[in-house]
Amino acid sequence: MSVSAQGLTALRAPGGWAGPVIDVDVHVHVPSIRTLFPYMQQGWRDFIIERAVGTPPSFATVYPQNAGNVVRPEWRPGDGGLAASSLELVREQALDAWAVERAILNCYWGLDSVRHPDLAAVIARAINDWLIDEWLDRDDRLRASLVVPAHTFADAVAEIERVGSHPGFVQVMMPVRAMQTYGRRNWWPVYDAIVAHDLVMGMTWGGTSEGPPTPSGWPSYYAEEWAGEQGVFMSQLTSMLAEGVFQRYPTFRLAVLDIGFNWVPSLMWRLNKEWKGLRRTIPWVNELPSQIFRDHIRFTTAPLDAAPPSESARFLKWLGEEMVMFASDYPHAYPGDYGRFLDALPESARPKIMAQNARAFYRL
Amino acid sequence: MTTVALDTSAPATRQAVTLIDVDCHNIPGPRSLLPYLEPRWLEYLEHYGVRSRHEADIQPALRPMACRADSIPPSGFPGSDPRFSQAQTLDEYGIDISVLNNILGQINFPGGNQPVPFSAALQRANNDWAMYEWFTSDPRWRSSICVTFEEPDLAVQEIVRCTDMSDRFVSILISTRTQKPFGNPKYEPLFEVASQLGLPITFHPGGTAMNNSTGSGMPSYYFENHSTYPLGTLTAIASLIFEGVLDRWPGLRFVAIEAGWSWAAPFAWRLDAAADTEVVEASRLQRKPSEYFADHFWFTTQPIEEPEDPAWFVEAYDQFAGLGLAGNLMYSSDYPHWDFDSPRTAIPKALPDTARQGLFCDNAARFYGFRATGTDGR
Repeated sequence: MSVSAQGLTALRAPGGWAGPVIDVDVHVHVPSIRTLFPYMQQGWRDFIIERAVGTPPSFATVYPQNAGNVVRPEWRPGDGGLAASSLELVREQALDAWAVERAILNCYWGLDSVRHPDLAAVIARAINDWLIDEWLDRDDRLRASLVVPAHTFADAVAEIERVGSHPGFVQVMMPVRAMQTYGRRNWWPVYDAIVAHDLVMGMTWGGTSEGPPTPSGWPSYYAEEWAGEQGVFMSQLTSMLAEGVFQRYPTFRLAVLDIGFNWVPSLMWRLNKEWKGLRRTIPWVNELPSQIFRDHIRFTTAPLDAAPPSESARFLKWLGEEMVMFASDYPHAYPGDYGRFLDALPESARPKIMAQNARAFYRL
Repeated sequence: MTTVALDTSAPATRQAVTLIDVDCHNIPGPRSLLPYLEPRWLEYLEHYGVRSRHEADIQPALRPMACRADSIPPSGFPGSDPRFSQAQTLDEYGIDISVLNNILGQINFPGGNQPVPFSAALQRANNDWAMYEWFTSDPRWRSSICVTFEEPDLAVQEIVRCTDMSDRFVSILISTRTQKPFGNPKYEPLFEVASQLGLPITFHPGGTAMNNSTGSGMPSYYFENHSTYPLGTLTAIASLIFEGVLDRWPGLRFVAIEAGWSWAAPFAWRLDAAADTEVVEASRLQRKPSEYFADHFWFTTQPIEEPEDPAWFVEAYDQFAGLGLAGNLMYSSDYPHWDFDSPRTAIPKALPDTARQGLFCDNAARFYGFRATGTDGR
């Protein structure tokens, strides 16, 4: 299977999808830490210059910029700059290319790997202010996730309080790898703030924890780590379910991004089964896990992985047509042909996946 | 150490085999291994105990060793009494061959915060206990070999010792919670010995917790721990493929116990997507990732998949079989755990007879090299 832009551009080709498109995962990148200088005090600018602080290290370990899946070749800027780093680029290559009604921007820039707690808070504020100034205020179609310095829970709460009411922010980005599993009750003040501001929690690939990304240490190859990252998402969903996040917050909304949906039915079945046997160990979980998933969680189309379209359609049948939202995952380069995927789905599912599910879930 | 010559080889003649259980747990009680430990390690055990971390103690299960309420024998320790286990499994269900996977040999003893020679002594004792108390008590028992898999050279010695003792040691028992993903070059001595001896490698969940059990720290509840048993297998499969282990040792075969199987097809396609995009890393592989599955990875039935709509069970099975895996699913009971699956009721009747015959008998007979096969009358 070749990796090309064809799968996405074919969406809008004659005979392609003519209805509305809401793209819930468009990645944008901070071109350089100096881009953020207008959004920091002079003291922090000096701090960064004197210490030669650059792009946080997770950015390159999570998305090595020349790895196969990170940027489609035709989306690399001609000037050698960073992909997806300006509104002009993103408009031309994504927003206009598949004529979005709305798009949600996610800025994963490795913030989670900044251990200096004060610097992390400064960078988080700067990224959010940059997102408002350079993106949200300049294109009505855009919405965005705000980022939080999540190693210090109180600072994450403060940042949500600071910008969470801005109408452009619809979500809080929470990378799947974190210091603690997301069900842990230490997170609950963060969830109080998310729910109070009527925001969605957006779980993305990436992040930093105190240990390796697998139960058995660090993988050697990037492809191995990328493929196996499914496991961390499974752990996080299991944790949030088991600790009762969705009972404590009846309106909680969780978007699971960057990880497709083929794997979810198998997990739901196992969770349902375990719940039947073990529910008295977690008695506050008073509904079937699959029902909780359907009431609170949505997944995205990207990446489709290499499943045959007929099997993708089967996974969607098992999961439910309401559960999946279209995401281009721009500028990432994953195999999968959206035209063939949509063709394989029942007609009723297509408008839901391309726009309706996202419009309802994010209240766009 | 006893050197009495006992006939513990597999019986030369036997009745037709119709039912094979590939996962029955024997679990040594507190005194079970004492006859098999040298004085030095008896003294050590008495003073320091087994200190390696055990998650069942961190996140308490429903009962000790997560056992079935009726599986506690008069001695008080589930899985520790060969006659009691025999009555509740082999005799009760007419199981012709049952493969023992010693839980403590896989979870508590392989290593961690205790002296390496002590771990090795405990594993030798586990295997001797199987040899002299299980194999002698009933001809239907087989066993996986308990090893210090984090010390592969020592593990190789123990594997050779056991296979020299008896042909009823039929696989190598590994935790999915290894220190490094299992394809790491660290474990090459194990691949070499497994290949030479034609022994499959058994992955069982749990472990000594040399790493957190998730990529975001430790979970809080047994429910989480138990629900995410497949995860270590995902890591191991990705690692074995991308490290090139399966290209260099094309005869290696692995079985994932208690991990389910409905995730195998979507995961294989995800691995294919990874190989499609990461061409620089994947170009040296001899095959597409999904094409390794049928030759290298086997799965077990317990806990049996229960899709929301029972009709989807056969759909999921067909998807799995479509990957060439129809011969790679084997019945397992997981005795004496609370989620034991009875061979009478666990496998949906909607599954075609050929598939049932395969998973109850033929697939395991081929996998382990058990010769006799028969007709499954269930």
